[in-house]
Amino acid sequence: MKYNFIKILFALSILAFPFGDLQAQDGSAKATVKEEEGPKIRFNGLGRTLLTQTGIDGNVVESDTSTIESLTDGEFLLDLAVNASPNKTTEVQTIIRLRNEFGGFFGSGISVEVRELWARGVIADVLKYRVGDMDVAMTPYTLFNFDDEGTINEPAVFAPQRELVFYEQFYTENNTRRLQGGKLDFGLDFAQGLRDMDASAFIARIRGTDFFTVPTRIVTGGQLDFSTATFNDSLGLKADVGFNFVHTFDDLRSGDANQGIRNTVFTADFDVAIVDKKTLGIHLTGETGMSNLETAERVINDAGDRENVTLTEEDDTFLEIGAKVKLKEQNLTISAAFVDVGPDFFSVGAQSKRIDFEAEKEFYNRIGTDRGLRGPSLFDFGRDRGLYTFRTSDRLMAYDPRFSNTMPYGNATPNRRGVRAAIQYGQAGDKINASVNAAFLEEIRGQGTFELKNFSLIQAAANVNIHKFASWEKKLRATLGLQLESTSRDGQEIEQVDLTSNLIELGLEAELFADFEILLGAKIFSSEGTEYIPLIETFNDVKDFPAPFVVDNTETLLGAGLKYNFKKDIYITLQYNTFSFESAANGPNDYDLNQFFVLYNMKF
Amino acid sequence: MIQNYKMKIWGTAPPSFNFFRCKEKVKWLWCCSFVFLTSLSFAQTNVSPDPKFSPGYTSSDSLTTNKPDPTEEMDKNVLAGIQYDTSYVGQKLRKPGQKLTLFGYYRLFGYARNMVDAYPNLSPFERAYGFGDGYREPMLSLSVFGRPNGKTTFGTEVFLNSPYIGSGVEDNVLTLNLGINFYGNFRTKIGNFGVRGGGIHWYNLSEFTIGIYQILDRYSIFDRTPWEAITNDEKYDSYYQTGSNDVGDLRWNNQPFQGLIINGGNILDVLSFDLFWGKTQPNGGLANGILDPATSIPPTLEAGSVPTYVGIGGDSRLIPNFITGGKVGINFGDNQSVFYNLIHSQTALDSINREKRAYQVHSLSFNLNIEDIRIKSELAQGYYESPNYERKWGEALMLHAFIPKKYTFIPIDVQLYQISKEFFNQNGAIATNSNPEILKDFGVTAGAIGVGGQIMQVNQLIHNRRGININAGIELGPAKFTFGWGVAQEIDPAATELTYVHRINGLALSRIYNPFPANATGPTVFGPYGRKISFFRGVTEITQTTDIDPATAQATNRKWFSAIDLQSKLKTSLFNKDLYFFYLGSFGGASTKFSAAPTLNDDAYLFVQYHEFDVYYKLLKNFILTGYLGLEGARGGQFTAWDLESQLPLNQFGSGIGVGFDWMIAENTGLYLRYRWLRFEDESYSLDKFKGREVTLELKTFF
Repeated sequence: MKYNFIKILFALSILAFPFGDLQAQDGSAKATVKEEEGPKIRFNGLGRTLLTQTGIDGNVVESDTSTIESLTDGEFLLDLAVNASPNKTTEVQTIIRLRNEFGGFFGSGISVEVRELWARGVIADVLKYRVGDMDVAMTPYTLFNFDDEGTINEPAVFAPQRELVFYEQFYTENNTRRLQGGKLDFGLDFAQGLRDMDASAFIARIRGTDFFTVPTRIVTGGQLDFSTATFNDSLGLKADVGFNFVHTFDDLRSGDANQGIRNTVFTADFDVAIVDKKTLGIHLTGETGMSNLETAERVINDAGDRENVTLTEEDDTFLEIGAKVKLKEQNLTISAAFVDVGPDFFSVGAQSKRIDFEAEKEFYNRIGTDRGLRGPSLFDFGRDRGLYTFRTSDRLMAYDPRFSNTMPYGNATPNRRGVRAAIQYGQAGDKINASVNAAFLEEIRGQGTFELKNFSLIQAAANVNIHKFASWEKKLRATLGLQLESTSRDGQEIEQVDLTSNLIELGLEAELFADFEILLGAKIFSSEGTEYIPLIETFNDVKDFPAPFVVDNTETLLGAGLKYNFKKDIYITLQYNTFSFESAANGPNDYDLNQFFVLYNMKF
Repeated sequence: MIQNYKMKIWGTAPPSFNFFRCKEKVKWLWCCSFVFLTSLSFAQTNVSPDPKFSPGYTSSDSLTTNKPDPTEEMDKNVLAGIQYDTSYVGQKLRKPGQKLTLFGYYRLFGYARNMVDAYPNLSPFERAYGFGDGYREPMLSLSVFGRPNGKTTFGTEVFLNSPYIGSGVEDNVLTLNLGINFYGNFRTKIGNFGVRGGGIHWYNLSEFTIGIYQILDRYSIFDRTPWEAITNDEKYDSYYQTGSNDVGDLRWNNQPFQGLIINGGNILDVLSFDLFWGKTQPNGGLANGILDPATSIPPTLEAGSVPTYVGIGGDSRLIPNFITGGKVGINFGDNQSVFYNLIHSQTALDSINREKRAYQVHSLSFNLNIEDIRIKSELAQGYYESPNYERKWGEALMLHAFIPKKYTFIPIDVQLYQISKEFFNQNGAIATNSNPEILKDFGVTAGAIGVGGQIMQVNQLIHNRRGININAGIELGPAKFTFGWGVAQEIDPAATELTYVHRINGLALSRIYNPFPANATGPTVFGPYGRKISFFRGVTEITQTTDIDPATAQATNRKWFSAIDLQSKLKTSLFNKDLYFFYLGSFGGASTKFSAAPTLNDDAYLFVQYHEFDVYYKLLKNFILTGYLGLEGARGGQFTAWDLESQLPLNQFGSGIGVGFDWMIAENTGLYLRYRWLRFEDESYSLDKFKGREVTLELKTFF
């Protein structure tokens, strides 16, 4: 059945050609008039100079004779995007990466590689296609690269390094995930009832076979989105409904592998505008669906033929339903939703994390005389591109409950039931804009006990454009981010969990001269308490509960820097960051990190 | 003992040695030189110097070392670190509305050699041929220049190479030539500011901090450089007129630098500054040398093999090893300036950065013009320190005056200097490889031209010396003559070894014994006695001195060094075709006592001489015949090492004879052939001899 879905989509697309006013999903694939008149080959890209000097200090290295005091690193990089339009409906692009490591002279430390390669176009002015590298996002429960932890409203001083990491991992504002494959989409416009319909389907290989034990892994999926016409003009009553499907599977015919997974997720999402007027909007929103995860094995049956048999199988469902009220004159949006995500709900594309907590850090991965593994910290989240990934995982990835325990896997975090709510005020350019997000959830099924954990999470962000209060020409902006999170579980002493963590972010951006800014920022994170972190094994089963996770520590990250903007997306910044990790329970392992860096970033 | 030594050299009662009492070969050298110089003096005047090459000063005044920076002349420019010829690349750049411009060149360099009499350990590589000479030079250089907006630019050079050995694509190379450069600038009411990131940037701070010993025309131009332009006889005419054959060469007086440079200029109309942080080549790696000659020979001379520098990639690259500093000063009047310059270089010696070596230089540099007498001076103080060497400050003082002919009839420049052995800097114009205590920390580094007591050309400054250099020149019709003389004495007894360059066949030898083979981590040492060291496009040789303290093995005498450079150029015609004759003679010596001229006598350690004759004849409009004769001799004195077998110090003679042509086969396209017979023999060291032939054919076209 799952394989038939693609066929159905394809058949639908063929049947749809003769009807309605057909169009591409977005206009991007079709060259604009200006582009058609312009040259057939265009160049864009990004250039970067990055020089860093990082040092370590503190108790952990006081008597240490094996940890280097400071490290120097850097790179000079040019991503040259060559975009060719051989005709008005076809476009080909590659990004050639030229990279030179700091310290490599006359050919050493140089690499030339292809960062991106794709082609796209429109067939018969109807069907849009794209092959090669592509960024795909669906819904938060199907295919979605949810935000990373450790930041709420990060001060601008820390933004350049984070942008660098995001660029390297192909992260976009739309929470897309970088895939390599092919994609089709098209749309229909209707005269009555339905206003339009958009359909899309994709297939991508997310892992290649090693021709031994690792089979090729493929993800495929599609969406059908319908928008209705306005049923009641006075209220603006209308609805958007979507059907989503993602199937991730191992091709057991590739290589000599004989075991693999099948993960299928079906969902339906909706956004019903009960009232959509000039001053007021009331929406009913939600998504519901189910997942299936099975372990398959390729065996030889009695007839001597090879076939796939299911070894294990788990199904579960989820429901998210809520309402959103928009007070448009007040610039205020309030929303609330009930969520119920089953304990066995599993979605490879939606639950894979950006931060791989088991990855090796680029700097100071092990420190101290005993070469202890240093845990990822606020400092690493901000700068260590080696911690991040855009790839998917076939099991729930490791996480650090200090930074995110309520929803470590985004909205699709399994085994959660409760309420999420949000308030948003103002726009980006206003004197003040702010937002508050909250989640009050509990487990559906206890882990290692019948007792259930309760989670509460509050995230607040505010930007104050001080210069607009005083009518200054030069920018002066203060930013605030706040996260309060707690986890508790009752029961006997060994069952009890009590973990709290707080994150405060303070930032200041002051424009001294035209395009020349001084940036200040601070992030203070503290956590205290006890928690149990399950150890997840292959195919998503809880293998064990190691020793209690006991923490009482504080992380402080301070940054100061100068930034000159030559133009939008072309800037140079010089910064100094200092970080300290203090543990009340383990003082000898306290350490400090400091960093001086220069980043000259040039998008063109 | 001394008496016995002299008997071995001369075979008879020891004569009083001077220039003209040497063996037949040396006499012959001197005769050739004298005849050539004399012929130039009486040459017919039928060519006038092109006035466009002598702006702002008389042609006679240009004959000293007070010559303009060649980067300021002719149709060359630099964009984002990429050097280009404005005549045709400029047209591409002027096209409106383009963010990116591509240009470059294709250079096919065919190389073959046949060493009929080779050093023993060369076998089986006596005979080799291929494309490329083993140096890292692109076959196709594709320059990419971008200008996202009016304030920012970037540039890089993509390096493509194919050895054409029939093996398919796996041996092809796609990489970058030098690196990636980013530039930005902005103007404010108080001044103009710029930033340079990436690298390689060709950078100069001052001679004593980040600079390079520059010699304009005291070298032969018979062999082409990979970065040379495609010219007809402009190259030879330029060399005749200004002394530069590749005007505008970006490498001129600049050091390669990676990192960040921030500079400001015209601040309050006079103030300028530079701040930088990054790496020069010595900060880039190349620790731990390979001294086994066999490992330094390329297994096959597959052209274009790209050396990789062990120590740069991987973890060791992250160990702090950087240089930082800057300058601040004022510009005023007619190209006059006063600057304070500073560099600090630091290198971690262990994997955890607990032990470091560092050196620092502070200097005041002056460029003054007093009554048309131009004065360049730099007064510096620096130190070197390491776990094995306690910090000691040392001075480097230099005053260089260029006196025009209106005061002295002929233009003269005089340079006085005193440089302490404690003054150390791997990035400046001063060679600082003579302090044996500091040298212990480095050994001989790859690319080093010399260590210890170096016998160099006039005006090359070396630490632990106090001396004087004088240059003068005169024109007689179409003939131009320059004369350089220098003498210096060690401040402290230090050098226990002497080094000198093999100028005549050094380039050909360095192509056999590549100084930067794949995975090189140190200098390429070769030769049957392990005394020759290959450096970039050259070869140097080390010989030990014997007048040392037997207990400590340290030098006991302060050595005197002297050098003379003679040069003459003539442009004439034959059958109404342009004909160029160039002669360059250099003499160098080291002695225990003062000697006004290099010589080999009872007090001498070493005496070397070089004679190079270039001839270029424009046979056809786009076809030039080229010819070359090079002769060199090196003789050791009684206080240098003896061969155990012959019981004699070194006694070397080398020759190179070359013929070829330059053929401009199309606009921007040239074909260049060079054929060379090379020969070398040390009569005292029986194994130290070679003989062979080398041919190169270069096809180069710019696009």
